[in-house]
Amino acid sequence: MNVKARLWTAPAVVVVGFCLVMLLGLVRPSLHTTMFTIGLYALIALPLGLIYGQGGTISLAQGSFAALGAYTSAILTTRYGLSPALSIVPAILLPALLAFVIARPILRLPELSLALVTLSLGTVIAVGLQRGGDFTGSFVGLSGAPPLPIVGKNPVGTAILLWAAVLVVVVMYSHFVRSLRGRSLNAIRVDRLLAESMGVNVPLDLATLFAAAAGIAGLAGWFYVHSIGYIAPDSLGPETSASILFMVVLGGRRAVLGPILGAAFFTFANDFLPGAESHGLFFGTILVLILMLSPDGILSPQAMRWMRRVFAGRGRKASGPAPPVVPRAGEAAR
Amino acid sequence: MTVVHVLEFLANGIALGAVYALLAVPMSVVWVTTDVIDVSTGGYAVVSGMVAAVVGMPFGPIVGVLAALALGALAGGVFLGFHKLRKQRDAMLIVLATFALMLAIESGVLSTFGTDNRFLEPLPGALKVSGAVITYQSLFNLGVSIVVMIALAALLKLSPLGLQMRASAISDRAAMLVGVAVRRTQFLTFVFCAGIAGIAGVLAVLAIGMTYASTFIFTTVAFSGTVLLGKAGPLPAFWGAMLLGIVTAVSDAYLPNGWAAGVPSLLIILVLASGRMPATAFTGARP
Repeated sequence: MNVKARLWTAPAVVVVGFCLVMLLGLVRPSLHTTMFTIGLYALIALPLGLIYGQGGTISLAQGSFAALGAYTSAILTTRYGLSPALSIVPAILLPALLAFVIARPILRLPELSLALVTLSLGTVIAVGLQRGGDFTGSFVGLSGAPPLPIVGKNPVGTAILLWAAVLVVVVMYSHFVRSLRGRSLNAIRVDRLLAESMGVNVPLDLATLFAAAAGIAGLAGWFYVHSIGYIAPDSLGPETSASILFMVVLGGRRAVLGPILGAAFFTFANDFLPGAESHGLFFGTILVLILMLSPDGILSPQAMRWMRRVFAGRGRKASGPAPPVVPRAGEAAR
Repeated sequence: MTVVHVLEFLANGIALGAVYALLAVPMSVVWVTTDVIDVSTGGYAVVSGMVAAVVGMPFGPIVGVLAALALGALAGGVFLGFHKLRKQRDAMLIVLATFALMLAIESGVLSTFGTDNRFLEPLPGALKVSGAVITYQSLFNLGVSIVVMIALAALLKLSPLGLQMRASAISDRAAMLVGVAVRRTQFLTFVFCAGIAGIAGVLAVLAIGMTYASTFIFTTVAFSGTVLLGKAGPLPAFWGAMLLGIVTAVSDAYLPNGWAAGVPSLLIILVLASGRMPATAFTGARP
């Protein structure tokens, strides 16, 4: 498979998968709502997959950044009468700006302490939202957020709009990892000092990515609040961040489609598992097993290489044996 | 602020710190011995406290601590599993596994005990010192915490297991070369430290009560106490947790209602982002 084909494989899979499920939704309409949930999680998880899987920088604050985006939009639309089509900008920019400002002192930390700092950041944000009084609605939250522009409350339209955003992120992700910047990010993951010595501006690159991840999470928060019409401190927070990490690790942190696969598994498992209280037990156990047996998740690099070999092998069988290598004039045959 | 207020803040803070210390110290001991932050420390405390509250006095605390020991054995088993499968090169994976274990424990507690706040009847009565009221439960918590610390110090300095733990903490390879059963020692460290966290859970259910959601709160408190003084180790963790208890008690009194819940997390961010903890503390750097 050539490079260009590989660039568009992941987006193609997203489009085909989405269309198939939406067609099935004509028979079972609840699938449209399920697709919305998966898309929401995918939008929050994809940036984490990029910064953790490619950059080795873990963030357990994605859920909280999504909450920030949701609250920003909810407050602007319900209290100040701004249209959702305009509130999308601050919903993305505010979490991104906050992430960029705090990135410098925390992104130089090793992976382990960074995970704990971002988890603590999520807790501080959650406490702030809970104790924000009338401004944030306190524990009750904010309701009455207007519906999404263009599609309104139509579940099919909402799912299409959301997955269009997911598709854009997937295309950007696919192109980014194969770009020079993407290779720099991999270099940072392997050895920060070596990356710096090769001219990579590690602090700026990581801070920019961290901010971009927060901004995309803020976008997901915007989708959430204007689809549901309501946001509370418990809607998106540290627990959501933990679930997002689960999706990325389970699906495959190094694969573009890994977070989406993880989001789909998580959503369907939530729908089919009995009793909401026992979900943590199930997901926690699965996560431990995945970390022990396949730390790179379901779509691990080994699994991807195996799939490419299988499909390449089938392609060769279909087109017949490879032609013999004929040396050019003047070249000795090997 | 009068002298009575100051004394009461100090007393409440120290009593709270005594419980926090029994969460922070086991986390730090596991950390220095295995290079792993055991994120499920809060879970051991909650399970112990919940079981103690349900079983009731006088056997509840014993059964609770035994439950915590069993969970510690599970965490130790997961740790050994990673080593057996040679996945130990990335300590982050093991930490994520303990995080997953914490989620599973929290869910298990919710399924089994529900969402109700559980508590045990505290020791009745109080002391009056210069006008400040200090409950007997607070004094009991402090006493238990000091006794556990003395016992831990004796174990680490005098017992064969303690010496093996210290050898494993300094260099697991060198310890293996001189015949220390490092993996067994590390496994026993997980179990033993879960027991200490279990004692914290029993004290917490006597002093402040708990719900399933306390799992994450206790873990945050444990880590905050562990890193607050900028050094890894049981003694810095003990004093860090004591300080955290006092800061939390003062915050409870002076911050707007409920904001004190964010203080441990804020301290984690401030300490780690300030660079006070050496980077090698988190990377498993060994001589």
